[in-house]
Amino acid sequence: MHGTSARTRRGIQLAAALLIGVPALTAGATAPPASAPGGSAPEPATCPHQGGTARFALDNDGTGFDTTGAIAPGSIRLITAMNDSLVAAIPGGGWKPLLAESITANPDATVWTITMRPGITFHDGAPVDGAAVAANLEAFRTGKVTAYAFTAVDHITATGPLTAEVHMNRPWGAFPYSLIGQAGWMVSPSTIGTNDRFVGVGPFMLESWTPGDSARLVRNPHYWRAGLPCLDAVEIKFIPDSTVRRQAFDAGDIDGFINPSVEDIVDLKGSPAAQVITGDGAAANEYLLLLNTTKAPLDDVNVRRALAMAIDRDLFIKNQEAGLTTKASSFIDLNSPFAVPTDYPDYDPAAAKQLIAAYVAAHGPINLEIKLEPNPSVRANVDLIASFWNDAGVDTTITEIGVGQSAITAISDNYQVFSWFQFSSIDPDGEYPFFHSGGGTNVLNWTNFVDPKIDEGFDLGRTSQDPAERTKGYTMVQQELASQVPILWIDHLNGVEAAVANPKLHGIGGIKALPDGSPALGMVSGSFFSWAGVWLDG
Amino acid sequence: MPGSDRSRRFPWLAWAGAAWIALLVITALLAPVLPLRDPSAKGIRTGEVGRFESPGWNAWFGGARQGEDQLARVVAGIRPALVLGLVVTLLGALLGGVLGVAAGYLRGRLDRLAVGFIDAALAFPVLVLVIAARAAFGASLVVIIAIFTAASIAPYARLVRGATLTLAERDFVVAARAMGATRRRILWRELAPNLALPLFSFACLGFAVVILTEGGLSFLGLSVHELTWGQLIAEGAGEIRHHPHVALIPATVMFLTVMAFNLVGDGLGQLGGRRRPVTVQRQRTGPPSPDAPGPLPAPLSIRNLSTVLHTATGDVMAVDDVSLEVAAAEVVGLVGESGSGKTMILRSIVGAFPVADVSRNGSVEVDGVDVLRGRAEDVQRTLGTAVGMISQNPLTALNPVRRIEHQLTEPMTVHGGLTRAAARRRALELLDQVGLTDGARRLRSYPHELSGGMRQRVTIAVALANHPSLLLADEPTTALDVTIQEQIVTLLARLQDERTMAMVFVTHDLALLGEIADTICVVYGGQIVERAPAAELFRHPRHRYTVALLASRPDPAAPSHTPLAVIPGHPPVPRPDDRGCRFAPRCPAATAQCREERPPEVVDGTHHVRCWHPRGDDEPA
Amino acid sequence: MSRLLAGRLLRLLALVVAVTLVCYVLLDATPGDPAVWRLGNNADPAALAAMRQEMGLDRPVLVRYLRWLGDAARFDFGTSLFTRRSVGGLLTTALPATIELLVLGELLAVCIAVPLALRAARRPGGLVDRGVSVGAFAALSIPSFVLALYLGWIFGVRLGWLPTIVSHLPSPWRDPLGNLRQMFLPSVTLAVPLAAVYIRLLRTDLLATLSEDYVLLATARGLGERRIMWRHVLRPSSTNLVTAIGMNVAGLVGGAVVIERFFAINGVGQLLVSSIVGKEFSTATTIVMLMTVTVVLVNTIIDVLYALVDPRIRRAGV
Repeated sequence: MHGTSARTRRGIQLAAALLIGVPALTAGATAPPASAPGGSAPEPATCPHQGGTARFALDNDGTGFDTTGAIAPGSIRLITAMNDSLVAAIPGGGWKPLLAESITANPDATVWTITMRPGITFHDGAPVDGAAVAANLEAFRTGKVTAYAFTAVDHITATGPLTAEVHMNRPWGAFPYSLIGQAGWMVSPSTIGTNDRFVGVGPFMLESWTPGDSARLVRNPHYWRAGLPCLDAVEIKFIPDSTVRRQAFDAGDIDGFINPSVEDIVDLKGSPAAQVITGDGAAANEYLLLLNTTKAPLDDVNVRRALAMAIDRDLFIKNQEAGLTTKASSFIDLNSPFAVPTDYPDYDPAAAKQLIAAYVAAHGPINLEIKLEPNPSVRANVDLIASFWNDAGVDTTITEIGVGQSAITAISDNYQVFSWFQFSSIDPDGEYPFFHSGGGTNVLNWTNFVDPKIDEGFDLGRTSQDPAERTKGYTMVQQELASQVPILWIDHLNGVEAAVANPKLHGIGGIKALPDGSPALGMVSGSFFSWAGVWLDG
Repeated sequence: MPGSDRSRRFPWLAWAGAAWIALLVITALLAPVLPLRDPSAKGIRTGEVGRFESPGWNAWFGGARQGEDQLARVVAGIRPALVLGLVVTLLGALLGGVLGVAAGYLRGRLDRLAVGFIDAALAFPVLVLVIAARAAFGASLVVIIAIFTAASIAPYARLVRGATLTLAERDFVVAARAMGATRRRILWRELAPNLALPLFSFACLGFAVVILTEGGLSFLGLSVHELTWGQLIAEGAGEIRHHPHVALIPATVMFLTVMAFNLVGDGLGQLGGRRRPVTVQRQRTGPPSPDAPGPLPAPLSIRNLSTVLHTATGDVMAVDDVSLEVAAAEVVGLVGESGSGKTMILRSIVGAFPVADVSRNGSVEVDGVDVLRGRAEDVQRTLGTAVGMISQNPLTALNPVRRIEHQLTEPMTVHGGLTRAAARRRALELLDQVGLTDGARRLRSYPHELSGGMRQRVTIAVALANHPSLLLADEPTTALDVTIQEQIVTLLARLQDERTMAMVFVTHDLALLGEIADTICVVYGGQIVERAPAAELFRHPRHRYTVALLASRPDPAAPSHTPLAVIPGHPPVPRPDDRGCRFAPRCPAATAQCREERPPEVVDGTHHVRCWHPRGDDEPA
Repeated sequence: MSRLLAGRLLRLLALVVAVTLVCYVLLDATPGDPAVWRLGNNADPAALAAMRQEMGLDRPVLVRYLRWLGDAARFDFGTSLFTRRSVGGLLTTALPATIELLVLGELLAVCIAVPLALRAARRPGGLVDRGVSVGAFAALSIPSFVLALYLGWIFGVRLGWLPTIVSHLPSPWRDPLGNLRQMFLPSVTLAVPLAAVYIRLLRTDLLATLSEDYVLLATARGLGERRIMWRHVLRPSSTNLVTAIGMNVAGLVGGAVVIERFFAINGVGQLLVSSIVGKEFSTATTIVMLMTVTVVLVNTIIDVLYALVDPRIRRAGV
């Protein structure tokens, strides 16, 4: 998931805000590899043209390459160019092994066996064997920051030259999904935990990294997939300001960039000089408002519903996102196989006013404080929402907290309403740590909302390998979220999380072929994509 | 000639600036009753202003992302901008100024402490302070004012200290100190007025910098809670490509405000009587006079020369219809009270005036070259080679930051065609000729290392550098000790004699002229009122002003602005439209005619006098 | 001489300690917890406590400061809490671009300001003067980012002459032309408001000097305008200019943030701001220390320059 201020799409934001403001994108997150089987015809994994150096701009640098630590989006983007995960996401919401040859479970999903492909080596020549897999997973399981995602894992053992077994302490049918992201990254065992270099298995190798400035990645000559990668090198430049990224792109100083502003997307979509590439949408972030459901007045479901009904999300999307995003009513994206229609309260200012008035009559006036990290574009979002609420009879104030304070503020429950971006897992199980109440002890359950039906639904989705059962579970979750409204959902950011490339740069995003020719998602969240099949015109 | 157009233009701009500031203040005060929209209202919800609406009749300054009316927001930003800018600038300049003067003048431990503080403050990142203070005290305007003020003290202090260091060693301060003035007196009487100007001009900039810095903080999201221009601009920065008006309109308002304050500042500075002197003048010259020049070019030939200075307080007829011929080896003395215009006659010859805008009419020829109308190169070459000039005050006549060698050899290398080495050899000779020993050392010196008398000898040497045929000496002894005066006059007389130079010698001391001058011209109100061979003038003064000068016999040691003993009053400021005789108001023999009609020039052989009623020989002095 | 030097050095050290201490303590007082940032949203209290211990944040601020100071004395400036890079390393990558930006910017500013101020001062109130004045205020009031973006748009996008960002900057020694091409627009952006300040200061001082006798006499000596302005008037009028140049050196390190941001320069300004906001004690304090030393050094040089500019100060023995 993305941290709270992970979005800087149109940010004029403090360079630093991001450096520190973006904690943790972890296991459930998003790091998608290119290629896999399935839906529409995948792009073949070949290079129409070999060679060349692509110059590409990211919005922010990460914090380094420690795969057992909290890892920022910038780091993930670099790592996805230098690494392949064990598992790939496929269109329509499934998974396929990518780096692994196969991943299989015992019938009750308590033991998973990962079998690696023979002959793959890390950038330093070390073999990618069972022991390496076990070492990486074990480091993730015990990592201070990452452990929360592997609470279901009991222990891991290497059982053969190319196999490792993951033993669960309770059934976990959705386990492979967690290996799409950070948990599935493999680095050379001797470098586990190092932060300033990355020795992975991917198509490119880290030649140089100047924190905050740039990185240069060069072709891995021993890449395990024949014929890839296409480029000789990728020069990454970090440009925090979206206006500057756009200008550098227009001037031809870069071949592409991520996170264009919404105005840029509208503008570039019609331009022959650019391609705008958005992700599949299965795993976009959502913009939302966390409600601290433990304190009055937000412990009252009617107040929460009223607040939801007061917000005109169509106007919000039209104005803040240039109409590019879609209304959300849960963390599950519309084209996910788990998505079901719910009766999440839609815009109804009269009803909202009525509910508020009723509450006020009984308990006195409602004063709410919305917190956010300082970021002008987010501030504008909150301003708009506050204006809706004020009109509904809720006296709303806005408070900016310190940069990077979001997590601690949310953990310590020191808020009423929090402006928030999160939930980009491809499979709903990735959000388990943030919704399952754990009987009220889970600090990562931001809203502190304890609801047996939500817990039950997530448990069902986690333990079962049967799609029907899982659907049942997540349907329960979605309906409960819609009726109880612990979170006010605004929109899925699928249309605005995008990358831009000039017409000469091909192969970003789209549907990619896995080694067996089946399709896989080429891009997640509009900005996480593999560089293996990216090529430049000659 | 209407020369006052420029002097009126500056106040006009200052008025424009003041009007803008007044407009801002009035708008800010009246904002609650003006038909403005609520600056925080979302136009996209009220339907009044559209998303990024372009400026137009509906919203004059356009709309922001959520249809906020930019005009209303810009108006809301006036108060914080003015309060912040003014308070910080005034406090910073005041505190920094005091600290800087104290450090620069008093020196010693205080200076070291102050410099330490300044260095620390300059090095310390304001951002740390801002973040810490915001956390501790909240993001109110007062907090930001306090921090900005604290941060702006150091630059002012540093600047003022630097200026004070320079000033403290200037002659006037040193002199004041030597005369036993108290420290406080020196600080306030001598230093403060001289520091005011740079401080003032720095403060004008400071105002801009404060407003811009707030913008920078807004950019980082660290500014005040109130709506400021900086925040508007920062907010619009991301849209500058697609919706430039969102940032550019507030930026323009900010620019106009900064500009307005500086224009008003400039205007105020002028009101405060700042001089606006310049070397490179716009000089206008009338048509050549009809008289053909004589066959043999004289060292100096002036015909009907009139000089009008166009100043802020009106036109001044500094030189009024002066004709003067100086033959080779002749010494002509110009005499008159201070302010009578004698120095201006010299300046009109060489074209160096203390004001920018000057018109000269008539003709001035030096060695046959028309220095009013000639090509610039010819004029400069003539001035550089044929004329030498010595000014009144040797303390200010030499450039304080250039070595004597440069100042002395420059005329020779520029106009005399000498190489540097040759010029240096000749410089040594010259120093020897003007009676300075140890020439090699003198050449390496800076002016402040020499005494007044020595400096005057140097200026004489500079004047003589290119063997001029004409020497212009402007009260060359006035600023010197009495004993040295004698030496200098003797030196000049000797040099003039040896080199058979023509010399024009300006003084207020008639007696002195009696000793050295062949011809004496008495100057009053920019005119030569009487001209005669020296002996003749002493014997038969015709003009009553000459008589008064003779009677007053000024003490040679007295400063030149001692009023005339016999006639009360001061010389007038001559104006182009004056009627009658300029001396009439002080003349014992003035008649109605004198006051109404310009007196004729009465010529009696070599004796010229400009008077309706010249004094007869029998008349009592 | 050596005693004098020792004294100065001692003062410098005292100053450095004072400034860095204040910075460290203030930074500690700012809100935020680096451990939280490092751990991210998934931090539970136990992990946080452990991380604080690992980062050394569990000890009192003074102890941490002294420890940093002790290490700094051995030229070990610590590591970034967040990227876990050595502060020395971070600075080495950030410093060259910043220094180059400052030097080029100041040079350009002086090269723009001096001739214009001289032209303007020749006729105060004249057309040139008023034009330069208005231009200077315009230059001063244009927000840097507006200037940066429009310069980039004109010279990068429209004309295609210059790059709009600084990326993989070649070393100025190995590829001076390529280096200058990238640094040109940022330097101009920095120089424009500086030049405006310098023009205003210098013009005021030039006017004062122009009324001096020696300037009138130089005219009387038939010296050309140009020679008079450059050789006779400029130097005696430069004290305040020199002061301002010196002052800016320090101020710009922090003040160039916006320019660094809009040309994507990874400079000290960005590093400073990000480390302050991110409570990167070692990084922020080290930069502040560096700035203090620079300021003192530069100002010492300025004091010497005063004497060069105006020999009268020399006898006062600054």
